[in-house]
Parts: sequence; C-alpha cells; structure tokens
Amino acid sequence: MMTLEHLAEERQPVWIVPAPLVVWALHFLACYVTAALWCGPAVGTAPGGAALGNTALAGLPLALFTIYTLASMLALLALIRMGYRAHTLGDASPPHDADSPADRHRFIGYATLLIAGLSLVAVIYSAMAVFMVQTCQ
Amino acid sequence: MSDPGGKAPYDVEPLAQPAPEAVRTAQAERLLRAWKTPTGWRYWSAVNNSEVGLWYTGATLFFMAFAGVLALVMRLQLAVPDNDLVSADTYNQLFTVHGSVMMFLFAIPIFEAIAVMLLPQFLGARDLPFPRLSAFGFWAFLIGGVFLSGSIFFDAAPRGGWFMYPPLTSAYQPDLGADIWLLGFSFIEVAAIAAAVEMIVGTFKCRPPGMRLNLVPLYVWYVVVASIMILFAFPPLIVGSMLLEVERAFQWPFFDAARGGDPLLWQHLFWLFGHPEVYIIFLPSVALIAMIVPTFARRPMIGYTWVVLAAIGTGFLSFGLWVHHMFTTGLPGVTIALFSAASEAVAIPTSVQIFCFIATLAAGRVVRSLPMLYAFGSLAIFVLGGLTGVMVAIAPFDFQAHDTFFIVGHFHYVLIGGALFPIFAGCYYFFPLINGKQLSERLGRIAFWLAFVGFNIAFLPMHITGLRGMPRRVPVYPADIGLDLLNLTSTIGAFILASGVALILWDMLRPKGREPFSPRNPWGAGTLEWLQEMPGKPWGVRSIPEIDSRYPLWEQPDFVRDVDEGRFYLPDAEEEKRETLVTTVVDAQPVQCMRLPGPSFLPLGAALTTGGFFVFGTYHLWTPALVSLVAAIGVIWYWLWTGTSVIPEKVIKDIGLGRTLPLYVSGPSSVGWWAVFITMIASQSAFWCLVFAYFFYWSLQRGFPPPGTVGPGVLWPVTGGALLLGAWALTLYARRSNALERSLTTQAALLAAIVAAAAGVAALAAGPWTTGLSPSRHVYDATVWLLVVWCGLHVFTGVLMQAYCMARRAAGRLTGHYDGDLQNTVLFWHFVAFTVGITVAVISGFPAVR
Repeated sequence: MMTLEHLAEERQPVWIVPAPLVVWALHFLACYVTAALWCGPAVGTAPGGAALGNTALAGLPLALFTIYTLASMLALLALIRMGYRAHTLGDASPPHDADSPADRHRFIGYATLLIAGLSLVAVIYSAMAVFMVQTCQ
Repeated sequence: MSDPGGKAPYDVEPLAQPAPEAVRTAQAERLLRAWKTPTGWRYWSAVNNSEVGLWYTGATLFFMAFAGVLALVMRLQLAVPDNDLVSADTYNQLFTVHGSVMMFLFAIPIFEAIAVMLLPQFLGARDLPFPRLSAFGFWAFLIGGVFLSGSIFFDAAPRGGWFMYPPLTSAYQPDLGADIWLLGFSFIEVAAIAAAVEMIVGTFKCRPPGMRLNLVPLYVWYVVVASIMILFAFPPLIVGSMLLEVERAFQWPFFDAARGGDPLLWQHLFWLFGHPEVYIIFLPSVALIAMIVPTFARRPMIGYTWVVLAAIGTGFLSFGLWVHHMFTTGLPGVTIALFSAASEAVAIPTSVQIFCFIATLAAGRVVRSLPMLYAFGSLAIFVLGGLTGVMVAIAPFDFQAHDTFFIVGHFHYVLIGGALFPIFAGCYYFFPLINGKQLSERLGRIAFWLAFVGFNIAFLPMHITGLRGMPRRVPVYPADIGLDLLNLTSTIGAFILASGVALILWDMLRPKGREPFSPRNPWGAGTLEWLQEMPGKPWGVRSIPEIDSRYPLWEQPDFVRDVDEGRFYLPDAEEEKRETLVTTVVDAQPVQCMRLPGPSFLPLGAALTTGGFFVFGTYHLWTPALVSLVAAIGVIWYWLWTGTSVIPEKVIKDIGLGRTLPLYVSGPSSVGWWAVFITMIASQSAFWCLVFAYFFYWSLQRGFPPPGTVGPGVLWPVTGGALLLGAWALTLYARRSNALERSLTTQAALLAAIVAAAAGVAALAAGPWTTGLSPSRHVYDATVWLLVVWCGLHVFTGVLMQAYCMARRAAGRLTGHYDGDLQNTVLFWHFVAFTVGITVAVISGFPAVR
C-alpha cells in the first residue's frame, strides 16, 4: 500500500528516467570499443602476422557482443517493469497532469517506460548491426 | 486503493483578499526600484535577463545576416560556370566563415539568447540564478564573434572549412586564420558552457512553487536536455582545439602521422561535438513549436510524456552518431554498421514529437495565425531534410554522396527547417514579450512566402547538383556538364530567400513607436510567460505564483488577477533588493529566498580581460596575453568577493502566504554548489576526451609508447598523486573545522593543502621530466605531458579557491554557518582528486601493466 510518505520527493528515484538510455550508451560503447580493439593493430593480428588487425569478427568478439546484448536487455526489462509499476499506481491513466505527488510519480514511471522502450529498440538495432556485419573490412 | 496524491503538504492557495490598494502601490514601487534598469551609458551594465537576452538575440541575428551575405557572395560566384568574381582563396574564407558563423555565432547562441530572455518568464521567476554570469557569457560571445567575423575583412580568416580538418589546418595553413578559429571559438564555447550551467540550475532549482516535474512546460524540458548535451558535446571540441593549437604553436605532434599522431583523432573529437551540436540547435528550436502548437490548437499537447521522451531520447542517441560523418575514412565495416544503426534509431524519437504535434493540431480547433504558418513551413522543410538524413545514414549511399552538394542540400533542409523557420515562428509569436508590440501580419506573410519558396528553389536543386557529381567547396565548375542551370536556379532561389529574411529582420527593427501596445496574452496561450504585462515590467512577475497545472492561464481560475494583485509569493521587496525563489528539484517546494546581484560592469570587465588572453594568444603576443590572464583572475576575484555568497542582514525572510525561508543556504541545496558540480561535469567530459586520445593512439599503432621509452615511470607520478590526495583530504578537514568555528585550524589546514598541492604538481611533472619525455618528439610524450598539464591547471584553480577561502575566513566573510565558498571548494577538489587519480593510473599504471 502506497502512502504519502512513499511518494515524498526525497524517495522519488528520478535517475530512472535517463537510466535506460545510459544502458543503451554502455551497450553501444562496449560494442564500439570491442570492435575497434579487435579490428585494430594493438590487439588483432591479420592472417600472416601482419600488424593490421583482424579481418573477421568471430569467436571472442561475438561472445562478448552476446553477453553485452543479453545483459542490456535484462537491465532494460527491469527498468520497464519499474516504470510500468510507477505508471500504473492506483487507477489513473495518462496524461498524469494533476498537481499531486502521485501523478508526478506516475509521470516519472511513464517517462521511464517509454524511454526504456526506445532504448530497447536502439539496443536491438545495434545488436543487429554487429551480428549481421561480421567483418572488419 | 485510496489515491494518496491529493494535496501535497505545502500546496497553498493565493490570498483570498488582496492587500489594500495603498499597500500594493508601495510594494510595486519598491519592486520597481529594486529591479530598475540602469539608464544612460550605465545601461550597458544591466544584467537583467530581459536586457541581456535582448542584446544576445540581436547580436546573433546580426551574425546570421552577416553570414547570409557571405553565402550570397558564394552563390554569385557559382551562378555561372568558370566564374572569377572571387579568388579561390577568398572562396575558401567565405565558406569557412559562413559555416562557422552560422553554427557558432547564430544557431547555438540564439538558443542561449532566447532561453536567457524567456526562461525566467516560462518559470515565473524574477531572473535566472546567475544574472552576471549570463552577462559575462554575452560579452564573451560578442568579443569572440567580432574577432572571428572581422578577420575576413583583413584577408586573414580561417580557410579550412567549418570542421577544420588537419593536416590541412596543421601543416599546410601556417597563417593566423586557423589560430583565430581555434582560440576564438574556444572562448565562445566557454561562454556557451556558462550559459548551459545557468539553464540547468535555473530549470532544476528556480521553478515556481508547485511546478512538479510532471507540470514543467515542454520548452523547459527541451532547453534542459540541450543544455546537458552542451556539457558533453562542447568539451570534445575544446580538447580538439587545444590539441590542434598546441600542435600549431609548439609542434606537439597530435595529428602528425610521422611522429605517431593521427589526423583521424581530430575527426572523432570534432564530430563527437559536431553531431550532437545539430540536435543542440534543433531541440530548442522545435521547443518553440511545442509551445506554439497547443496555443493555436486551443488544447493541451497530446502525448506530453511522449514529447519528453523525444527530447531526452534524441539528446542521448545523438551522441551515438558521430562516425556517420566519417563513413569514408576506412573504418571497420562493423563500426560503420553500428553507427548507421544508431543514425536510423534517432529517427524514432525525432518523428515521435512531430506525430504529437500533428495529433494535437488534429484534435484541436486550429486558429490560423502567422506563427503557425512558419511552424507548418518548418515541419515541411524539416521532414524533407530528415528523409535525406535517413538516406545518408545508409553507408553505401553515403559513399556516393559524401562531400557533394547533396550533403549541402541535406543539412540546409535540416538546419533551416529544424532551426531557422522555428526561430522565425518564435520571433512572431514571442515578439510582444520583448517590447509589447506585435510584428506586422502583412509583412510576415509576404516574408514567409519569399523565404519558403526561395529556400526550396535554392536548395532542392542542390540534391541533383550533388548526385550529378559536383563536390562542395569548389569555387568553379566547367560549363556544359549539366550543372549550369541547376546552379543558376540555386543562386536565384538564394536571393529570394534572402529577401524574405531581410523583410523579417526589417519588421523586427522598424520603429513601432506609434503602434498601440499588444493586448496582454494576445494569442490566448495557457503558459506562464504570457502573464507578462504589455509592455513588460523589469521585475518579471508581480508575485511568484503557485502552479497547479501544465497550462495555468487556462486551468487555474483567476490566475492572472491573483498574480497581479500580489496574492502569491514575494509580492514585495522590503529591503529593495533583487530576490527570487529557489525550490526543490522534483516537486519545486520553496527552500530559499535568494538575493540576486544588480547591474555591474564586472562581467564586461571579466569578458574583456579573458578575451584579451585569447586574442593576444592568437597573435603569439605572450606578455600581453599573460597580463590579460592575471587581470582576468583579478577581476573575477573582485567580482566574487563583492558579489557572491554575501552574508545577509537577517537569517530568514517572510515570503508571504505564511512561509518564511532562509536567505542563505550552502552545500547541495544551494544554486552555487549545483553550478560548480555542473561545470565540473563539463570539465570531466573534456578530461575523458584526453584519456580517450591516449587509448586511441595506443589502439591504432604498435609503437605507443615507442620502443625504448621508459617515462614517466611510477615513483614520481605516484608521489605526486599521493601529495595531491593529501591536499584534497586537508581541504575536507578544513571544511570540518570551519563548521566548528575553529578559525586557526581551518586556515592552517588550507595553507598546508596549498603547499601539498604545489609539491604534488611538481612531483607529477617530475615523472615525464626526469625520464626525458619531450613533447615535440613523439605523440606519446605529448599525450603524457598534456594529461599532467591538465591536472596542473585544475590544481592551480583549486589552489586559487583555497587561497580565496583563507582570505574570506580572515575577512569574516566565511563563517561556520555561511560557508558556501568552502563547500564549493571542497566539491571542486573532489573532482581534482578524481582527475589526478585517473591520470596517475593511466600514465604510470597502464604502461606498467602492459
């Protein structure tokens, strides 16, 4: 049972609104850095031992991409759940524009839910890119 | 369940009865005296948001007109094949200055200018939290802008294109043009970050009581997102400019491949700024549309939360697009795919907001009006630009279109549709807030059709010109290869567009003395800014209202009357001092009645002296540059000493409606602490760009560090790090003893901290020094030295702050209770300690673990 104290602004986790996009950013950055290092001369070795980097993405980088993607999706699903619970507090529906702590709480939840949905789509886009274009060339 | 969200504990109603007429008149007179705009030559010492915002907007529009004239000269040159109107060198200067001025002196600053002018109005605040900082930002912008624009009249302008790629700008253009660009814009970027700090603190801490996060006007959401983007987007460019300038002035080889450098690093840093920058321009402009649409649809925005999603989502995703400007640089296929995917993803939030606008218009009863005409024009142009954007986000298409006129057509559709037309819509909509008069309906309509038709005639053919193979930035093209008619058409269109823009500017500038004042709230809008009387009063709002709704003028009964009759907060200025309310971040509950500074020439003085440092530095006049820097530190010291953290004559103040608030707060609830925190976020993003540079070089070559290099070693950097952490700990200790009013201990701790800091920097520098790292030898040496210098500059600032606190304590201006200066110094040192820790780990730890 929610009470007014639960809805006090000190207890409102506002950080969850941008959090899904931070998850997207971390996933994106991890994929970018992994690909850059794997394809670059500091880590990779081209066939014949030339210091040019790898030409194909197989094995380790693909395993890493899988881990990044699954972890990001799990985090986003958790944020979607948090957002949905806050959004559906009580029996109010959008636009959540009443002057009350409850509607502010629902608004934060709704914004989180929408942003997490967008982030999920963006993570899927990134994952499709790295899994379908498995080449450094 | 029962809805616990009824009335919040502090939700208050306005006074049932107004104060007697005589009392209200006396209140209004005191408010007027407190907020009086200086007259005569002292007018230029004004710091009020309405004055500074007006100057700022005027200056940006002037720079737009200037850069527009340069564009017309370019179009004349391209009107016919093999033309010789201007030389190739002049043409290079023309396109460089046109692009740079439009971006850095018009598109970004006009967002800050409009926000400085209108944000307090949107928030029912008397002013922004740091009026003198806004004024400083404006003067810095003006000095830097005149310096840069003026260079073209001396044939000394930059010639490297607005993105200034090395090695063209490092090895092949030894004249001053590139230096003017690098230093002039670095100066302006510092001003932009100052404005961003102002916007963010204003939004989070100066909202009117009761304006919870779910009631914030959409414009404010967009502005805060764009301001936060500035904190992360501008530092990469500042770092890039610093690297390039250091290479040009001192031969540190950051972009010189022969000595381990890499010109591609510039492209990464530039576009890490440059792509988000497009959205920093676009979001605040579309924000104007988000205010105009509900007014003329006569209903609240449909999908408020979706629009918030769009603003935040676009802001974030735009940081994952930078490499799409570099598709042809030979990056790995997987990298290109990743950035291509993000470039497609950003279309989702961008279109969500446009669907919300369309839905609101479809569901409302749309009133025909001039601002809506411009808004429709904007949407039409922007959607076309967005669609060509989706095309060039697809890498194989981009390989064909890269650096052709197709790109020129694409980004002008995006920027003119996404920024210029919304800004014109905003000018027609908000003009009555500036001087109480309306712009001409008839002129505006003619100007719209000239600009809209002229724009399309000028830029639509460019897509074909580009696909037929004409590269951008060439001053001539041969006849009879299918480009003649297209180019001539574009030139004719450009002049039609220019005549429309000139008409709009004339409409704004023409004398309107005889015209009647506009009625109050002439468009029947629902948001707070339309509370303003016609003409406006310098105090902003008569009393600061309690907000219960997203559209208070529509939904809160008798709202305007209650504000005007002083039935809300702060209807008076008993001490005839400037005051506004500080509120909490989430629910906007009032926590402080903040005193604001009045008119002063100090911001102008600070801008002149800091500007002197950059301008003299450009000409390598080191002595005057150093003198300017010392003078700047002196002026800023005096400004802070006399104008900030002033101990009030009483502890608390009655703000009306039965509430009393403190006049002074320090630490995380104060706006000053927030400003330091936000500034340091920007500093951190610059620092991480330097760290990125280190690992970028390492990842792309097998000689980083080059074989045989032993520096900077472990001993000296770790010693330096330990001493600097000691200085940080001593500063923390000083805060504790100051809170206990132990004056002597506080002073001793601060002094010891300064000594430890100086020794720490010396030890840190001893690392690369004793191991013989020479910054002009190899990029490894240069990068290590730059990280050390970066730490040194931060420690130097931190030491100045410690010395300032010692002086304040000695003068009795810093006490155990009134300790804002020391709290902010400690916060700064948290960041210094972190920066030093990371630096030591990178320069000593990374080579060791490898």
